[in-house]
Amino acid sequence: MEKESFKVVEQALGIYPPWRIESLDFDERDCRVDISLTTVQKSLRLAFFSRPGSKNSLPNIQGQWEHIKLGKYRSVIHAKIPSAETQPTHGIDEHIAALPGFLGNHQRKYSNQIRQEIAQCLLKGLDEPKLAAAYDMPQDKIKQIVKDLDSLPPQMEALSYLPTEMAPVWGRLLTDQILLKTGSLPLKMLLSKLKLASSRSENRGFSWEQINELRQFFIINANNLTFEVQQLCGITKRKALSPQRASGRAKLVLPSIKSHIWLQILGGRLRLNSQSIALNLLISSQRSSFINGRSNQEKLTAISIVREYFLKNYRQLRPELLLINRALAIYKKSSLKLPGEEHGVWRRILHDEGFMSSNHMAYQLLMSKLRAQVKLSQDPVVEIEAARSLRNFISLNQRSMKNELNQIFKTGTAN
Amino acid sequence: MAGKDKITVTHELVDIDTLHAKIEAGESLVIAADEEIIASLPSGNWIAGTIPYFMTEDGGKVDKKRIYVNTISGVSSDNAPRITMYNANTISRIAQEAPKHGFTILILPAMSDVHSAYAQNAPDYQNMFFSPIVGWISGVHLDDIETDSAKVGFGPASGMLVDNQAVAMHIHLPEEQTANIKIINLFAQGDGHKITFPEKGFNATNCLVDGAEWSFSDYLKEHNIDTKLPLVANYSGVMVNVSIQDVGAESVALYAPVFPGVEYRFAAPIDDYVKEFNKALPSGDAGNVAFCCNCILNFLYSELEGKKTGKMTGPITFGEVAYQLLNQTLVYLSLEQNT
Repeated sequence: MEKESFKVVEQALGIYPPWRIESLDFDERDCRVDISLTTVQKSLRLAFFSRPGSKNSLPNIQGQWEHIKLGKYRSVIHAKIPSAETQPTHGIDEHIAALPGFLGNHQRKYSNQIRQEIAQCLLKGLDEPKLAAAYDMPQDKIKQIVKDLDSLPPQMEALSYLPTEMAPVWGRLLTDQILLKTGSLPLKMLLSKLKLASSRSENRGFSWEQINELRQFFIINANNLTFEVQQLCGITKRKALSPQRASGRAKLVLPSIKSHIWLQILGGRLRLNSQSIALNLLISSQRSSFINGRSNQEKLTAISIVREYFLKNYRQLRPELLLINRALAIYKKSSLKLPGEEHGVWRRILHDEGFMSSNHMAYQLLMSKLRAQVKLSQDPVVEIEAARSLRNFISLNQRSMKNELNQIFKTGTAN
Repeated sequence: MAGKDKITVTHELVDIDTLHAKIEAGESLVIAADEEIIASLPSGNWIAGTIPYFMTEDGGKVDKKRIYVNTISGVSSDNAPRITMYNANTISRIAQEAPKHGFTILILPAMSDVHSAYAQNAPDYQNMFFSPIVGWISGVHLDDIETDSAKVGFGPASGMLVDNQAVAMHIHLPEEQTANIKIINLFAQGDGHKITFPEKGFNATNCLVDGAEWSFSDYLKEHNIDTKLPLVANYSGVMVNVSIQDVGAESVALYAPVFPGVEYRFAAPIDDYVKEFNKALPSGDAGNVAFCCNCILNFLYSELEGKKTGKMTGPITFGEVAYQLLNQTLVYLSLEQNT
């Protein structure tokens, strides 16, 4: 292909200076085009990525990203980008979101543009098979993107579907073709400034710099601009159909009295950062009853009082409930799946005292009780009940029984 | 870790002994007081601006003996507030130097070059609007306006009062907290003519009124415009006022600059400022207000002396900063806990 034709491809794929195409490699058989990018000047590339206060001596890293299709061809972008000062803990962070739409996280194989489109589609209710069909991409690749999106903490969700600089919505916003509803004072002021600048320009248009300035504002404040970002994506709250995400926002659950969350709250391991003085005082007073309680009943009473308070004041305690629900979700995700109660490992623990040694006092006491029951009755029903109790106990105490869990999983897998 | 280093800002009118005790205790303070008091203060972690007018819980007050002070508590020693001075050349760096997660309180002396530079160029400073910058324009007692100049004080260098530099305190916030700047501007664009100005500046000579060329001074006189009402521009939904200072024979002096390309209209009149103000007060923010200031023109024109404006207390100033310079507007900063 002639180098002059590269410009057309650059335009089609949204590639803009300082980036340009260095080479194109068409693979007719796989309907794939590999596009290698370079920058006009090395110094420009560094300037482009530099952030206030950052050093420009970061090493370059080669990345490869699946980008939007070029006709019947899948396009794969290859470029060297400066590494971030800190490695992202998720598929996306502020640094990655600020990269052009045709680049992305060097540890991932998809571009920012693809990730943004898929995040937006998920929000609108499309599922993985439909996405794979729509993007003509293998389902495992879609799965990887969805997995990355699902693992984002709630405050980074809006960042995942914030339109890239390629989206026409930015231009429409700057030329008053769409009206953004917002209560953010700095956003209104910034918009006003940028609109005034574009109305003063000779062609009454807008520049990449203006779009990037506006977009950068959204990136930094994405956590507080969820409603505005959804408007940019053409989504109203009613239209946000992603089942798990939408329901996660709408419905808050008050955990049952047996939930481990109450143990964490009263044990001081989960802090609610509540503004409610009454709640803080109540938790503080019940914490001492809980910790010093001699019987399970006393401990349950302390939990029950706190839970009752939530039940009566749930309207005022929405932020605290939100935090509790997030903690529940995290716990659910991080919980390991134990073998079923019929699995042989439980019988072995019940019968073989030397099989799983543990210093966990509560475990030792429980085992003493369960083993005695099983030994005395010789009834298979009692044995299954004992296995169920043991499994429940370990399930609730996963964090403090890591060594024991390892042994269970080893045996479980071996069997 | 959550909540360990939560920042709180209290605000109160205090006497000189209380203020000395706070300074000596090493507290981070933002001070508003008469020049004589600020000049007598010992070194410490404070910034100050001269002004003897305050909104207190008992109502508007003129007081040259007492001090309005904002006390910033909960700062960690490794992330203490940073105090910086800026002149007319360096003020453009303020937003770049603002903390990535936090806020900045800025005090500029009225009628100084740095005030003028900030008023005219702040919206174009790099990173402006990315981190909250709130503040006020220091002034003098109106009886002394011919003889005294507005000043700011730089606490780390005791007694350093200057009238040609601005002073700022950059305050970091923990991730669990967010600072939000909000304004209460009771003025909205009236139904009058649309006015635009060909040049940026604090003085307006010519203007276009509904497209026709006018001398701005002649326009005000011929149309008997009530100059207690500001010009109002709609900045994407934010009403920004420009107040009239003096109508001369050929030009009109303004308390804030006008900008070319921006459409202004004179504000619709307000019957009862206090009543409307109390109606506009957001009930949810009252407990979170960390800083607040109101314009001296609201104090004068709405005769606020002795009248109460709820929990919104602070200095009454010669101009307000909510990112950019504002006039005849109440500005406040709330600290909110992230959920």
